[in-house]
This record gives sequence, C-alpha cells and structure tokens, in this order.
Amino acid sequence: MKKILYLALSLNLLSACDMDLDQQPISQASSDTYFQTVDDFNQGLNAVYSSLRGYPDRLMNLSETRSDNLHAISDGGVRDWEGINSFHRTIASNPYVEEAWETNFNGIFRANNYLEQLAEKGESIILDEEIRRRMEGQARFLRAFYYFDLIRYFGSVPLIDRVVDATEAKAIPRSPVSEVYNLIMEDVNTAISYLPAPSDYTLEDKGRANKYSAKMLLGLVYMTRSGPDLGIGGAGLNTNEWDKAVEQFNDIITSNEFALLPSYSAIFDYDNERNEEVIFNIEYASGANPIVGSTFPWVLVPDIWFVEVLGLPTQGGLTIRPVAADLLRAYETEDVRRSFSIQEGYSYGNVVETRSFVKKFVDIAKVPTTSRFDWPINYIVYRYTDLLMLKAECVLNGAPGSTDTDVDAVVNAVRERAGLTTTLTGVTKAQLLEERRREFIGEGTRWFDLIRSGTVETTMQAWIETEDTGGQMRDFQMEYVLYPVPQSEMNTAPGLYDQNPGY
Amino acid sequence: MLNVPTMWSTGFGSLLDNAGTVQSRGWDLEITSRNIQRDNFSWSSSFNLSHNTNKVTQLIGDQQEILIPSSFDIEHSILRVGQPMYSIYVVQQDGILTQQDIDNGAALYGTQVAGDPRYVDANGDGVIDAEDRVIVGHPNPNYVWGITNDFKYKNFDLSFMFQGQSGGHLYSLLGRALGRTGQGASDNALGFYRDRWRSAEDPGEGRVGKAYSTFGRIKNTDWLYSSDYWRLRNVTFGYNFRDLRLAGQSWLNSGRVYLTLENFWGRDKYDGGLNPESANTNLSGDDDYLEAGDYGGLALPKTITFGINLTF
Repeated sequence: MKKILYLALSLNLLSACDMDLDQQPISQASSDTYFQTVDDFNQGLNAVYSSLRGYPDRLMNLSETRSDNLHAISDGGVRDWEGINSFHRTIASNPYVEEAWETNFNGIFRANNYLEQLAEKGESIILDEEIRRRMEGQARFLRAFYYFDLIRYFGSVPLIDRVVDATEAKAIPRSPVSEVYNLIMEDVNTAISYLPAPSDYTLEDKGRANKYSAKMLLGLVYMTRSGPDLGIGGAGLNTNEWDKAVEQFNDIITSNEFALLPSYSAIFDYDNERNEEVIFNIEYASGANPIVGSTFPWVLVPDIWFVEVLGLPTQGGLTIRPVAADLLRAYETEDVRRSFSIQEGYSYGNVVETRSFVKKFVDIAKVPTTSRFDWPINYIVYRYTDLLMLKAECVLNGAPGSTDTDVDAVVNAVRERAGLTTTLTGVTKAQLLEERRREFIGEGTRWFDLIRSGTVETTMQAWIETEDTGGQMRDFQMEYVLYPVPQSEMNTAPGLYDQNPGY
Repeated sequence: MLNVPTMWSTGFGSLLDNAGTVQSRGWDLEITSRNIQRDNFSWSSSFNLSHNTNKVTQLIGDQQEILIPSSFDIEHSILRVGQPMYSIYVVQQDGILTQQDIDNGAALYGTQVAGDPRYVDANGDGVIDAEDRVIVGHPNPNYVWGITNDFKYKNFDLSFMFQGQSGGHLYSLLGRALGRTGQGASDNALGFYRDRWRSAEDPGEGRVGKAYSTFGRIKNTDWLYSSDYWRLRNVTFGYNFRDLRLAGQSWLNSGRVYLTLENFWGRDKYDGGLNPESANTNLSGDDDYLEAGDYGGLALPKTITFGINLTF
C-alpha cells in the first residue's frame, strides 16, 4: 500500500507542470495588476513626473557647464564635469552623459507604460472623461518633454512609443531627429487639446503640466527645429517655423494667466513659488520619506562655501565651477542680476578664493540641515520672461510681430527690472542673446541659445581664445554640439547605434 | 542568476536572468610531516596548497561576452566564454608617449600629447578607444598556500606560519582617489607619482604620465596590480613549566609564557594600496553588479601579544 502511495505521489510530481510558468508576482505589484482605481492612475502619473527630478541638475551639468557661462576646466583633479566644459572627446562614459540618456528613457518607458494601461483600462476605471483626458495629456506632454531633452543633447535616438522588452530593444536603431520630432509634435498637440489652463486646476494640482506648458514646449520645439542644420545630426533642421512658434507664444500671452514679476529676486524667492512667471515648474517637497527634495541649488556651488564660510552642513558641490570672466564683464555695474546670481569669491581663515560661482538658487536661510538632497524649492522650467524673449527672437528672425513692442519693449522691460536705466532701440539678435545670457545665468538656457542662433562655433571659439588663458581647452569643433551616445549602450548591442561624429 | 545589461530604450539598465553556466575546477593538497621526534626535540611541518580555476562556458542568448557595467567610467570587468569569471578587461598601458611616438603616428586616445600615457592599440585601428580593451587578468588567485612549522625543545616551543597566493590580480578603485590619469597637485597622490613624467628630459620611471593632462581618461592597466603576496602570518614562541613549587609547597599545576607576532614580515606587489586582499567597496559602484574591491582598505595590523597561561 505504501509503495503504491509513493508511486502515485511521484507520478503526480512528474506530471504536474504541463502549463507554461507565467505567473503574476504575488508580493509585488506589476504593470498588469497595479492599475485598479482612479487613484492608482494618479499615482502612476506621478511616477511619470518623477523622472523630472534630475532635470535641473542635468541642465546645469550638460548645458550651463558646457557653455561660455562657466569656465569649469580641470582644476587638477578629475571631477566628472571637467570633460564637459573643456570638450574632451572621451566623455562617452561620463556619468552626466549617461544620466541624461538613462533618466529620459526611463521616463519615456513610464509614459509608454502609463499610456498603454490608460488605453486598456482607463475607460472602465476612470469614468470622468475630462479627468481621463487630462491624464493622457500630461503623460503625452512628459513623453514629448523627455524626447525633446534627448534630441537636444544627443541628436537622433531610438524611437520607442510603446513598452518594449530587452530582446526587441536590441533591434531598434536610432531614428532620425525628424521622426522623433513627429512623435513629439503629435504628443504635444494632443496635450494642448487635452490639458486645462492652470486656473482650471485645483490648488493641489497646480503644479501639473497645463495647456500653456505644452504650448511653450511646442513653441520651443518649432524654434529649435528652425535653428540651422549644423551638419552633425543635431536638433536644428532649418525649417523656418518661427511664425508657428509665435502663434503658440501669442496664445500664452493672451491667456492672461501669466505676467512679468516686478522684481528679479521675487521670481526665485523660496516663499513665492508658483508665482505669475511660472508657466511650468518641477515641484519638490521637502521633509518627505523617502526624500523627494531638490538638489539643483548647490550643483554649481563649491561645498567649501557652505561649510567654511557659512558654517552650514556639507552639500556636495565639491570644487568651484567658476563663472567666466567674460560673463562677469558683460554685466553693467548697476545690474541687480549680477549680485543676486553670482557669489564673487569668498575667504575664510587664510584661504582666499577670487573666482566666482553661481549661487542663484541658494537661500542661505533655507539650506536643509538634515539632507543635502532635500532642498525645498521648485525649479522653474518655463518662465514668462523666457517666453517673451523667445518671441522677440522669432520676430527678429522674420516672424510676424513688431520690433518696437515685441522686441525693444520686452528687452527694455527686462533691463529695467534689473535696475538698468538706459533704454535700447533697434535691439539686434546679438543684443537679445547677450541679454538672455545675463537674465538666465544658471538656468541652463545659454548652450541651447547658442546652438539655435547658429553662433555656437564663432562665439565659443572666440571665448576659448580670450577666457582660457591657461591653454587647457582646444579649438571648438561643431561636433561638440552633441554629446556621445553612452558607451554602455554601444557595448550592450554592438553595432546597433552609430556613435555621434567626433567621439 | 545575474543582472544582465539591457538597452536603456527599454526604460531599464539591467534585467535579472539566468546569465549562463560556469565550470569550476580545483584541487587541494595537504602534507603533514613529523620531521624529527625525540624526547627533547621535535619538529613537524604542515603544507597546504590549493588550486582553483573557473571559466564561463556559456552565456545567455549564445552571447560570447557580457560586459559588467560600472558607475565609474567604462566597464572593466567581463564575462567571456572560455575565460575566468569577471576577468579584468582594460586598455594596456605601455610606458609614456614621446614626441617621437606621436610623430611616428602612434595611436592616441583623444587629444593626447607627449608625456601622457602610451596605450596599446590592440585592434590596430590607429586610435585608442574602448575597443582596445583586452583581458589582462582575473581576480581569483590560481594558487593559495600555507606552511606551518612547529618546533619543541625541552620546555620551549616555536611555531610559525607562512601564507601566500599567486596568479590573481586586483583592479584598485583606490586609484580613483589617489592615482588618476594626469592628476594634478590639488589632491593627495600615490607615492610613485613623484617619479612621473615631468619633461622630455626628465621622463621619470615610465609609469606615470604628466600631471594636469587634459585628454580624459580610459580605464587601463594603471590600476591593475598583481595580488600575489607571501606573508609570515604568525610566529609564536613559548616556554612551558609544570608543577612549580615554592617553599616546598605545590601551588601551581602548570603554566606557559608566550610571545606572538602577527604580520611582521611579508611582501606584496600592491604599491597602490595597503592590502591586496582587502574587500571594502563595490568596484562597479552599481548595486546591481556587486564586485568586491579595495578602496583604501587598511593594512593588516602588526600585533604583538604577550601572554601567560596559569593552571592552578
């Protein structure tokens, strides 16, 4: 009897498993099981937003540091940013370069996954169609935002508009920039039609992408496309769509949802977040667990200033990334933006540092003492001053508008706010660009301004010749406009991607 | 099971998978000999030797190799079919570039100039890049051995133990702090940086290139060290006494006085750190790919122990 029982048991064991092992994990939620309620869709959407967290830091590392705003060449160590500013050709495995690729693709995956789940289950779970459309609009805005960030840094990238697995991904090459733009524009246009104005959001949702964030993105996309084709596969396609950009910008202006603030410092005031300048910002909360605060305020600030000069806890900015002497000279003496944005040297004990750095986003009274990853300040991605000056640039490039009211008046308003009294007339593109440089120092716009205006090669070369007196930089090459594809990507699927020229 | 790198276009950098198969082989040998056994004197020795190797025999999807990602620069570790696991895979440095090398068309990495390290153009394409990496070693030693000797003479005893290993390498992350390519004077540097290249007339010992170089960095053999060492781990010298009598009275049954020295003598080839065996950091810098390595591990302490054992 016992033997028969064993035999039966063993037969049972041998024959039990004739179905494929395809089980949902019980202990963890998966994409297929997570989305059950409206709140789940809200949480899932927040996850798509969370890939924005490092966006401002990236702007400072890859845009501000690469431009002529900072002269952050080697100080004798090998800080990860040194190869960025001094144009090493060997930065394909630079952590900042890798981060830009990886975080954006992670955000794109999250958006794709969210949009797939929303298409599959949204209608049966989220009964309010308006809410559903807002959710789709935000996810689409973010996917476009991440792709736009990618093409500005890398040029062509693989075009992924659905969830792909590891095997599929190894067969998807980089798509031309023009095809990536098609997806971006399709997404942004959907976002524009699905998203509400900021005033239609309840207070707790005010930080979400709105219709005008999407219009601002679309305007910037048109302007970037209209920039010259530099022959390196970059984001400029010489499309002459300045007028289309102005259309978008005009809608934002006539909405009357936004305004110029009367004071420059008020824009960045820790107690004045979500002010009238803000068209789109990245919102950070401090004191949460896990930590979700911001880090960008100290990225360009040497640690020693916090620790030795101010007696505050270490923040992690390591060594100084000096403001270019050329930019310091560009400020007139009465310009309030200089003293607000720049700390000109410091000293403690016997140490005297004469070089300057950008402290624009630091409020000394608000430095977190518990964690340097937990600053309590939002990052303004699109602000109204930027919009007005971008529109002025389109007008100077031939888009409809008046040079008096749309260019001179805007530049003069910005200058007046900065404490400058001389009024300019007949503002040129070069003057506008210089004014933008002074206004947006530390905000990571300069590098893209130079590329879009077609002056990157001449401006950077002239700057290197005067600024780099130590001879640590070499001649500027057009190839430096793009970053290399991360080496790890080249290695994981050899031959799938072509590396950008020059790397 | 291993985290296998995936394309980031999936949204993720790695995937936990059955990555392949590995074959491990080895043998152990131990010999104990009582060389001399007399009433007053004895000497015995023990010797052990073990040899262990492993090699990757197959990888997922019939790949020939998987590079192990690193948070610090390009990968330096590889799983390749037919090779030991986690073989060290970097560009080889071969002295220092001279102007003559450059004039003769030597392969360069980025914008190298005379005084920078000279690298081996392994694939012969005229430039140095990540494709020029080759397997230069593996972390596990081929042989690990130990010898113990015990002597006894009357009431004295002496024992010592040697230990060593050979055939392995370590890739020292401490170089990231103290031994970077072209490192300048703003940080501490390893001692041998004093013999760096200073000028064509004063080229140093041919190991470290010029300071303040600006061509960038590629992982290369400058952080590679042999993990070979031998060491006198332990010497103990003792004296035993029994049935100690004072004033005709037995008040101590037995006793022993001894002196032990640990780690007082030895040699290794790791001049970029203190202990070739230390494992105090994750070399890859990435939690998905754990790899033991040295980041400023402390030296083994030299210890003197003086002891008395008494039995009443």
